[in-house]
This record gives sequence, structure tokens and C-alpha cells, in this order.
Amino acid sequence: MVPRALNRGLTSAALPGRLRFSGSPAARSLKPSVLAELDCYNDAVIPVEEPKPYVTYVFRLPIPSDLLKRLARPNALATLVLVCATGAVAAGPPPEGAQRLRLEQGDHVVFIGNTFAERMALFAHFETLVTAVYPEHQMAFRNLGWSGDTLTLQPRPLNFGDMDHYLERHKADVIIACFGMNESFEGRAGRARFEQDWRDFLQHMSEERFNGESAPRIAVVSPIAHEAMGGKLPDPGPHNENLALYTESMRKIAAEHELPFADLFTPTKELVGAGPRLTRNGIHVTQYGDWVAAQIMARELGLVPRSSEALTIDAAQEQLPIRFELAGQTPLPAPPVADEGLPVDLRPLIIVNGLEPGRYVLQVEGAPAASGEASDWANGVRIRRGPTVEMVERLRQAIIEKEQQFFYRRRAVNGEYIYGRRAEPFGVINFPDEMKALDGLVADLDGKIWGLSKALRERSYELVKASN
Amino acid sequence: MQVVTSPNQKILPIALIAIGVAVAAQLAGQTQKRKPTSDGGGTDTVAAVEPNRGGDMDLQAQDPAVAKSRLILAEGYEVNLFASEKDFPIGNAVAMAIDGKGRVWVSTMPTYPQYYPGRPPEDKLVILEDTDHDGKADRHTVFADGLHLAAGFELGDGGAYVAQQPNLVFLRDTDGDDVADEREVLLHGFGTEDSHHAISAFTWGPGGGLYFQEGTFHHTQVETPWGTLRVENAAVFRYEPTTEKLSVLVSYRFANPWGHCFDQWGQNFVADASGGANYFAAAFSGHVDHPRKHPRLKEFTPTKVRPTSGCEIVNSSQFPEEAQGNFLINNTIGFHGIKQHRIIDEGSGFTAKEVEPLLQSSDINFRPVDLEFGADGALYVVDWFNPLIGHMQYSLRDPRRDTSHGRIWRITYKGRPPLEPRSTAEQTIAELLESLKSEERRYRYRVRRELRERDHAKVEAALRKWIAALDPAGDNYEHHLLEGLWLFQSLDVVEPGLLGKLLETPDYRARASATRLLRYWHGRLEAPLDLLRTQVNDQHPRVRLEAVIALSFFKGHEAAEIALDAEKHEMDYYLDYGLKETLATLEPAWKPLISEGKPFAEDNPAGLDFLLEQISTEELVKFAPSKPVLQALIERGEGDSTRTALAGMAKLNGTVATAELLAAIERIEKQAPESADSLAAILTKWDPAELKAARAEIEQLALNSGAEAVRRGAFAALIRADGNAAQTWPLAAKSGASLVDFLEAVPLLPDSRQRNALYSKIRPLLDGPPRSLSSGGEVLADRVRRAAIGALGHMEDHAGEVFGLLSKVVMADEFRHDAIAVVAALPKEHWTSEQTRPLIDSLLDYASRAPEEERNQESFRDAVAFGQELATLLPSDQVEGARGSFEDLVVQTIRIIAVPKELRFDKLSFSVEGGRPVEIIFENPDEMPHNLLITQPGALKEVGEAGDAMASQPDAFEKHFVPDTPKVLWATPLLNKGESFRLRFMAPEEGGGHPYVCTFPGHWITMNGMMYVRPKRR
Repeated sequence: MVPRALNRGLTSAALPGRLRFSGSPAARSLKPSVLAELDCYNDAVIPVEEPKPYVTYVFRLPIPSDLLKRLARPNALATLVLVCATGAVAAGPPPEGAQRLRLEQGDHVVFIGNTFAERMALFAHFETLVTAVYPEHQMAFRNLGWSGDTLTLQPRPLNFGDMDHYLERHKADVIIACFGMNESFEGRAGRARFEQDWRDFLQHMSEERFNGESAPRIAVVSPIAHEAMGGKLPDPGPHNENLALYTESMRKIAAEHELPFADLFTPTKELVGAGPRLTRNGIHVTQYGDWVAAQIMARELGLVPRSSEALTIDAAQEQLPIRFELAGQTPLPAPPVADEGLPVDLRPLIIVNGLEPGRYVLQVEGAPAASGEASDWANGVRIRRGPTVEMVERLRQAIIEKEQQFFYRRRAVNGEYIYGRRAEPFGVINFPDEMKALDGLVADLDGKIWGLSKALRERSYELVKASN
Repeated sequence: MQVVTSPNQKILPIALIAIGVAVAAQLAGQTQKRKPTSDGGGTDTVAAVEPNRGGDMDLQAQDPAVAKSRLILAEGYEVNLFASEKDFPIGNAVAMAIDGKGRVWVSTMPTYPQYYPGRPPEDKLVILEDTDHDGKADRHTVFADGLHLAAGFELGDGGAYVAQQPNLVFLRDTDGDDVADEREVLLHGFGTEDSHHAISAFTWGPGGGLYFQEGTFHHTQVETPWGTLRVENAAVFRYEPTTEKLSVLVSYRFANPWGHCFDQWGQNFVADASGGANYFAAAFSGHVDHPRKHPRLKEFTPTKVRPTSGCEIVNSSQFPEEAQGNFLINNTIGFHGIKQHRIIDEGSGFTAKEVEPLLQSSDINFRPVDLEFGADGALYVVDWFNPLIGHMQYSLRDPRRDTSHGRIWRITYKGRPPLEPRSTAEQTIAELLESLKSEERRYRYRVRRELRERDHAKVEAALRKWIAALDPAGDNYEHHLLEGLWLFQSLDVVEPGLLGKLLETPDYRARASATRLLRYWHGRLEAPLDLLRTQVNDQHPRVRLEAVIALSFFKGHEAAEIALDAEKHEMDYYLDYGLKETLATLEPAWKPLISEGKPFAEDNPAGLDFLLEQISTEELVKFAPSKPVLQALIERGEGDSTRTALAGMAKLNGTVATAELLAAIERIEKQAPESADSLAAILTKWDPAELKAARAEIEQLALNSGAEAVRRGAFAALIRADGNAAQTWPLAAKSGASLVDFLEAVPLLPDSRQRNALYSKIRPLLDGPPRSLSSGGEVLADRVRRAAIGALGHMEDHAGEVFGLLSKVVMADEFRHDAIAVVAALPKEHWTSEQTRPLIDSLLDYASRAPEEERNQESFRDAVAFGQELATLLPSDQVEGARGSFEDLVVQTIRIIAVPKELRFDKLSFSVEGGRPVEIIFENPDEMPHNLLITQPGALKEVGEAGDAMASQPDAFEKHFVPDTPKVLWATPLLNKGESFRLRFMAPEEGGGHPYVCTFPGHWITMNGMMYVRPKRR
């Protein structure tokens, strides 16, 4: 049983803004690392700013071609440039038959699948990226990944409830399904069954209305490649052959059902040996691996541009300082490796043509985010540091905290006493309120996350000439 | 009540209020639901909630000095407080490991039993150091904080492997400041259904495997780059960080296995807490395909106490010579201390004899949960210090669960100086290798762990040099070689030369351990099956056992064939168990061969017999009719399947089925006369014409077979062959023994005419055998009379006469029960009424005089039932009276079962009639031990608390936790799993409610009920 005061603190409607539960017992007892983040939550209180003398276009992908033309030639009336991009601009049209994952305001996005899905909660780059690109969507992400899961084999504690039960509880609008790693160990012989399992699963999903209205939108995500680790770990060769087959199966099934599909296998296979290690044991991502996989996933699902070449400003048509906002893209948290020539990098790349020779600095509210000579800007400079990078890292930490609290809820230990054979006589009294309190905590953190992503989105950039 | 104090003052009030309300609500509910049985009554305040023994909790031992004063050591030992919560942040200390510098690492879990919403986990890993070597910690470092349920951990590879449900996490200190700065989730997906069942009891094996174990309810699935591992309901895991392989060492229905230790030669033992069972691990470490589990294995120690937590083997020269090699095991309820067993080498496994306990506390908050020998040779013991540990009796959120106390005790043998601690950290690789020669097992353990952290290529090179330089004539040469082999295993370097040498070394213990490696290395060895064929035929049973188990890791029928070679040698319990399990795992490989009649194990008839025994008849009849299959079916003697097999065998051998049957009978009666019954029964029913053809042989069987059932069956067969007994009777009458066989054959005759025809011959035998057979004496005479009584019951045409004859026997004393069995079975129309009254009087007289112990026997019940049935023949006004007279003599039987895992009896109440005998059949299928006491009215609480209080007595288990008080009227002993007991007593005359209760500490609160006594009817 949770005291009323605590309940009040935890279950209030969550909106972006000041930390909801500051001052509540729960907040007082939050661990230091969380307390340290309170600052970041306070950041989420959007400062009231002067009316902005510039225009921001926010739009959904894909961008109509006429709009693209207008964007390429900024409105002369606007003093500031909007920079916004889609993959269509730089990378051309998406691959034939490829589907984009449609996300909508208020969507409940649920991850299901194996350890890859489960580990996403540890690092949260994908969720951070999508949240930052779609701040106005105010989506709730719930990670139902479970180590070892296959499409059809999902052992659970007694009375825990099956996957449908949880998809219903979380009112899933969107399901991001990451399967195939465990199945792939069955080799060629298991492939037909794997495909059939997918068909059965998709058929079943098409009949469900977890959100009460419509069948869930589903994205299919392949396993990553098995990385060669050397030492005494297995030679990934044979397993990769199987993973390639299973990835092809998933691609085929996704195409049959006209579903968005993220092939993580092919790009990560190419990355093996081409940079820092992606995994800790060959198959499970490190923080860097998650940083990479998140970008590939977002790109493959059509949630971000396929590359960022389109952020081009023609300085000849602007007056310094050039001010703009970013939409459709986001800075990313710094990768946990040497940030040099990384093979996958979708962080905003700003190209400014026509600058007078000299050194220019890109600023966010006066603090530098990038700098370079005019020639550097003509080649493109990435946003790798500065206030918005710090903000997106705080966003990620908030998401990780939310994932942690959700994990305590979903994977609550002592299930035998919560819903199992030992729930009577005490558990039925203690735990329902504790679980409610956790739900409240998670909902509050959702609000925190939306506030942070909105604030991040509203930060404007300013290109100025360096003083010296 | 004394409130448990806690340093978490900032959160405690919340928890207290929350739980106080919860508990009060619970109590209110329980009081209503269980009103008839509760004589305590629920109230609405926390203070009224009874802790583990009612009244105030005795928490004086929160003061470590008081706690110490309550510790009693075995003769010659002493104990000191190494560290406590007073000086160090080790509240709720739960597990321990000792590092290469001799420092004691402790994990704490005040967050237990689980995260409370919004209250951050604060479990820790704390390093305790005794810098001045005075046996007391004087410095600490918090290696990691903010952990969630660090129920188990182990050091190694530059950090700590820590249980973080549902994951295994590695905490790494990258800059050498003894503070973890990296946390990495290594393995996901261990079960968490019951947080105290989650992975714990971490220990390294000698060969570089990190072992940990989980308990029942749990569903685990873990992905590794080698594949996905799934297991349910308890297992011992083996994780190789070097290769990232995760495997199951033991898949077994443990409740919560909290102990695992290795001996000097690498044999390991696993302790299951809940039932207190300790197991010899090798026997059930064979491979099983999920979801199969190994079946029940016997315990290697005599188990009297439970629940246990943590075990260790004495290999420390700080301890006296006589303790060396002893098995130590912590116990936390009922007996609070460390039990000690001498391990005895026996055949393929071990047995043990309990010796004096090393330590006992009279304080029941003392909860020893882990123990390990330290660098100074002293035994370090973690005391979880907690008044409440039950999960079903108390809410998980009960505020009296202590989170703030924790101690490390240090036990030494008086008069022996502590060992000079030798740090492994400063040693060179060459020095470390030399250190592997130490006889201090825990020191070698730390040395091996240190070697893992050094450059593997350099260690490998140095190891080769070290082995080459060992003196074959020196002390412990084989053990040094074994250490070398283990180190190669730890480095994952396959070394066939050294392995081959140790597989045939003189010391069987080294051979056994080397054989164990074959299960891990076989895929990388040439002709591994040839090696195993040698080992499975080794002269020592333990080597054979390791080989049999190793074979379960193979695929293919050849492995099964080789395993069956074990049957060529003397078998014992563990070999039998291990071989069955290996065959079960390899079944997909060998069964098709057998079922298709293909050659298999042809040179090994004993092995093949063993194998066929593993197959059900239902399945076997579908197999191709090979000779071994047919023979197995014949020898089972299961009717049709045997008859068909006999025909099949006759066809194969060009003989007739009768000949095959007789041959089979002769074979079996020599090997196992007790199992010849079924074949004898088949013989009896065989076709008379066929029987006639084999008459001479059957006669021989009737007269001379060593198996009673065969002689009897043969007599019946002879009568059937002839159609009458004309030829057989003279044969039988030649000796008293044959006469008994003959008489006992009569009921076997299917043809009633043949039976009835014998009436005139048998009736005189009621008075004894003919004079001509008087040589057999009294015993034989009685047997003849008894057999005659039995035979007469099968003569329908003479039923009336038989009833008359045997009624007299009933009224006489000598063969009453034999006669009752016969007459009660006679059709009622033959019960002659003139004998009814005298018979009833005789039976009532007998029954009322029968002693107490006889009244529960089947024969007594039959006599009473017969009497009651007879009473129905009386004039109607006498029937009820006579029946009632019998009724009063009948015992009232109530069956009560301890419900597994739920800490309650299956009956909340029952009623009995006063002044009549009662028998309670109490059965305990639960892992936990239980007793059942019947108390005076209103004495539930008093007796329950008295049972709790016994926990601090040294002999509580011996006294079965039955308090010595007149309030206890009757009691069963403490029953372990699978035991039952019949408790007999005379119900009190006066009506009323008598509570019944289990008084094992902590159980009485939920495990009770009420016996209602109703007034006697008349």
C-alpha cells in the first residue's frame, strides 16, 4: 500500500514542464543520479522568448516535391532560413517497395522481441532519436523486449500473461518487432517455420485492436550481424549465413504485407571491422552498437532522412547572423567512442555555401555548437557538441530512467507474490498499489521526456562570424 | 513490541504506515476467513501482529556483543566479530567473496525483497580490509552502490560478476581505485519469480567455469553467441566468461539451491536450502534436453535441519587435522549455525556422517547465509541477522524485515596461529603457478582467479614450462598436473597430451576429474569416444560414473553403447542413476536401432538388459521382434505381450512356445525367484494340451522349483493338464510343503468343477495334515491348515458347508482372521442364521479385547466389518444395537496433508466423536519439514510460540520441535518430504475445539486448524 501523498505525487497528469514529482516523497528519495537530472527536467520548462522573427516549417515525411523546391530557395521575405531535410532530398526516393513507419500524435509505440529489443532500454538511442525528431507527437514508448523470445516461444512466469495481454494493456498503436536472432540458430531447416510464424503473427495482429480502434501498425526489424570477436568466441561465419537467410525471410514477409522493414543485418555486417566494436559478445550491442543501430533503424523505417546532406544554406542570399531551427532531424548524444570518421552518422550536417572567407561559429543561445572556416562550412560541418547535444543526452538519460522504472514495473521481481501462486494473502494487498505507483512514475517520466524533446526542438541555431 | 530500527529513517515511516495498514487489513481478513481456528484473534494495530514467535521480538542481539555472547563453538574453536553494521555499511549482508589480497568483499541487499516505487535501490558491494592483521576489519571501500538485489556475486577478470535480477552484470574497476566505474549487462533473462530464488551461490569451478544457481518457479532464457539457453524450475548454471558459453550443469527441481562447493579434486556438492538436501553433483550433472529435468537424487548427507544457505569444505591448515575435508553447511531456522559432516568416499560417490556442529547461536535472529575460508585460514561467516525471513507467513513488505544489520564472523581454531596471508596480486605468473602447489584449497582458488587476469598467452607458455619441470616423484605430482589441466581448461586451450596422461594416472581422483573434462573438450579431441570407452571400463566406479555422465553430451548411438559398458562392472546407486539419465538423453540415438531390430550392444547382454528395462512394454511390443526384445517381453510376464513374445521366440528358435515359457521360468527362478510370479501365472493359464505335452518338466517345477509361485502355478498347470487331480494329489501328498503348494494352487484353477472335486480331500485338512506327514512339525501343520481354509473358500458348490465349518474357526482363536477372510467373501445366502448371534458375540468379544495397536490393522477392520454385516441378519430390533457396538470400536481416521509451498494444512477443521479412537494420517509432500500437534483448547498461540522458542535449543530438531508442555496432548514427529505418520489417540470424552498446529518455527501462524470433538452419541 502506498500512502496517499505518494500516490498524489506520482499519478498527476503528466505534462511537459517543471518536474511533476519534485517535493513528493518519491522525488525526495530518488537516487542522486536522478536528482542530478532534475536540472535537466527544469530545463524542460520552456522559457518565454521574444517573438521569433523567423518561420519554422514542421512537416511530415515525405515532403511534397513542390515544398522541397520552395525550401531549397528560401522565401526572400523570411529573414531566416529553415533547414529541414528528408531522405528524399539527398538519397533520392526510398528503395522500391520500401514502406515508411507512420507515427502519429499520441501513439503508443511498443517494442517486442529478443535481447536486442531488451537492450534498447539500456541505451535508448533509438527512442531518443525518434522522440527528438517528433517532439510534438508525445508518444509513449514501452519496451516489452524479453531475452530469448522468439515469435512463438515466450516463456513467462506463472500467471504473468501473454504478449497480447500486454499489447492490450499498453494500447499498442505501433509495434516494432525485433525477432530472428534466436530463431536463426535453427539454421536453414528452421527457415520455413520462421516465415510461417511471421505470417501467423501478422495475421493475428491484423485482427487485434489493442488501441480499441485499429489494428497495430507493425515494423519488422531484423537481427544485427554476428560480429567476429576473436579470442575464444565463436567464428560468426556460419551463423551469419543463417542470419542473412532469416533477414531475407523477414524482408520478404514485410514486403508481402507492405510493412516497413529495417534490415540491420546487412549494414552492420558491413560495419564489422570498419570501426569500433558494435557488440560485447558478437550478438548483443554495446552502447556504441546501439548508437549505430538506432540510426540505421530510424533511417530504414523512414523516420529520418537517409542522410543529412540536404541541410544546405546559401549564404549569398542571407545576412549574417543566419538563424534557423532544425526539424526532421536531431543532434544525437555523443557516441561513446572516438568521434572521428564514424561509418554511420546521421547527425545534422550543415553546409553553408557562399560564405566570405573567415571563421564562422554555429551557436545555440550564444554557446558554440560547431565552428570552421568558410571552406569547412562549404564542405559541411556536423553538430557534435554544444547545448543541443547536451540536451539530447539529458533527454536520453530521462528516457533511460523511464525505461528503468518501466522495467521495475514490467519485470517486477517476486511475480509469485504479485500475481502468482503466492499472491495470497499478502501480495494482493501490497502490490496493486505499488504497481499503480510505478505506472504513475512512468507516466510522469513520459511527460518529462516530451518537455525535454520540445525544448530541444525549439532551440534555434545561429551562424555568426567568429570575433577573431 | 520493539520496533525494528533502521538507518533508512527517511523512508521507513512511509513503509511502516503502508505495511502496517496492509498487515492489519490482512489480519482482519484472515480472522474472518479462519474464525473457527483462530484463538488469538486479529486486532487493528501493527503492534498486535505477531512476529516469528509472538510477543516482543528479542532484538538484544542487535548489539553485536550480545550476538557474540550467544554463539556456541565446537570444542577448541573461537569466534570474533570481523565486521558489523556498527562500523561498516554492511546492513543486510548476504554474500561474500575473498579477493587475492585477502580482503573480504560483501554484498548487501537492504532493497530485498524488491524495489519500492520511487525509493532507489541501495544494495552495495563493500570491500572490507584487515590492514593490521588482527582479525578485524579496519577499512572499507564501497565498490558499488545503487545495486538491486545483489543476492550473489563472485570476483574475477578485473571486477565482479553480480546478480542483478534478471541479469548477470559485470562491474569493472578500470582505474584501480576499488570503485567500479563500468557496469555491463553480460547475460539477460534469468528468472525472477521469487527474488530469493534468483541466481546466487556464485563460485568458480577449478576449470574456469563460473557457477551460480536458481530455484523453482523460475523461467529462464538467455541468449549467447553459441545459441539460446532455456531452463525452468531451477538449475545450476555454468558460465565461461572466456568463451561466453553458458550451460546448465544441473537441471533439477531444486527449491532454492543456495550452496555449492568443490573439494580438493574438483568433485562438487550442491545444497538445496528449503529441504536441507545436500547432493553429490556429478551424478546429476549429465546433459538433458530442455525441458526434461533429472529425477530425484538421493542426498549424500543425512539431513536433519533446514533451510540451509551456503556450504564449504574444510581445507585450511588453520583448522585441526580431524576437521580437514569436512562439509560445513549453514542453517538458518530451527538450528541457527553451522552443521558439520565428515565426507566418506563410497563407490562412485560419497556419503557422509554428521559430526559435532561447528557453531550454533541461541539467538534466532542469527542467520548464517554464506561462508568461506579466508587468506588467514579462518572461516568467515556472513550473518544476515534478521528476525523475519519467512515469505508465506509474513508480507514481503513486513517492516520487521531487518535491512540495517549484518555481520561477518570469523572462526579460528584456538592455539593455531593464523596463516600468513599471501597476496596473489603481486606474484609473477611463475610464482602464481608455484602457488598452485599449495594444499590450501581456497588459496589455490584465488591463485587460479588471479591467473585468469594475466595475459593468457603468457600464462599458457609459463604453464607448459611449469608442467615440464614438475618432479614426477615429488609430492602431489598428480594433483599438480590436474591443476595444470584445469588451468588449460580455464584458458580454453585443449591439451590432449596432458589430458591423456591424467586419464590413466594411478590416482582415481585425478582420473575422475580428467574424465569430467571430456564432456567439455570432446568436440575438439580426436576419437573422444575411444577415450571414454576406456574410462567407462575403469577399475574405479567414480571414473566410470564421470565417463557415463560425459557420454550424455554426445549424440549418436555409439555413445549409448559405450555407456552401457558400465554394466559390465559392479554398479551402485549413482552409476545406476547416471546411466539411466545418460540413456534417457541419448534415447533418440539408440531407440530407433532397438525398435528396428538392428544390432546394438550385442557383446553386452547385461547392458542391453539394462537398456531394455528403460522401455515401457507398451512401446516394446511395437518394436521389431529381435531376440533381446522378445526375451525382455517374456521376462516381464505381462500376459498378452508375453504370450505373443513366447510365440515369436519359438518361431525364431524353431521350438514351441511352451518350451520357451518353461525355459524362461527356469532362467528367471534362478536369477530372481521373486519375479517369477507373473510367468508362473501364465503357466497356470496355458493351454491344457500344451501343458500335457510338457507334463514331466512341469512336475519337476511343481516339486522342486525354488520359487513358491512357480511350484503353485505348476501344480495348477498339472491339474489343468489332466483335467483332474487324480495324478497330482498323490504327488502333492508326499510332503507337507508340496501339500501347501497344492492347496494354494486350488484358487488358481479357473474351472470350478476341478476345484469343487477337491472338497472331500481338503476338508479333513482343517484339522491338520495327514499323520503320514507329521514330520513337518507344528509350523508346517499350521501352514497346511491355513492353506486349506483358503482353498475351501473357492468351492462354490460347498459354500454352505464351508460357512458352517469356518464359523467355528472364527469363534476359535487360532485362525480367526484367515477364516473371516474366507467366510466374509462367501455369498450372503450361505450365511446360516443359527450361527449369527454366537458369531457376533464372539467377534464383539474379540474386538473389545483387541489391543490398541491391533485396531488399525486391516484384519481388525475386516473382522469388525464382517460383524457389522452379520448384524443385518439379526431380528430387526437388534440390528442397530449390534452395529453400534461395532461402530464404537472403529477408529475414526482423518487424513491431513501439508499443502506444498503454502504453509498450511489441507483441512482447516475436522470433527470426531468423543471417547472413540482417532487416527490422523498426516502426510508431508512439502519440501519443508512439518509436524502436527494437537493442543488443549485455546492453547494454539502458547504452543506455537513455545515451538518458535525451541529454535535456540541445541536439540530442537531431535525433539521434533514438540514443546515440553502439558498443553500439547498428542504430536507427530517432524516429517520430512515424502514422509507420513499415523497419530493415534482416544478422543476426549467432552466436546470442544482442540487446535492442531505445526510448531516448526514460524509455521504456526498459518499452519493450524481445529479438531472439533462432538459428544458421544450414546
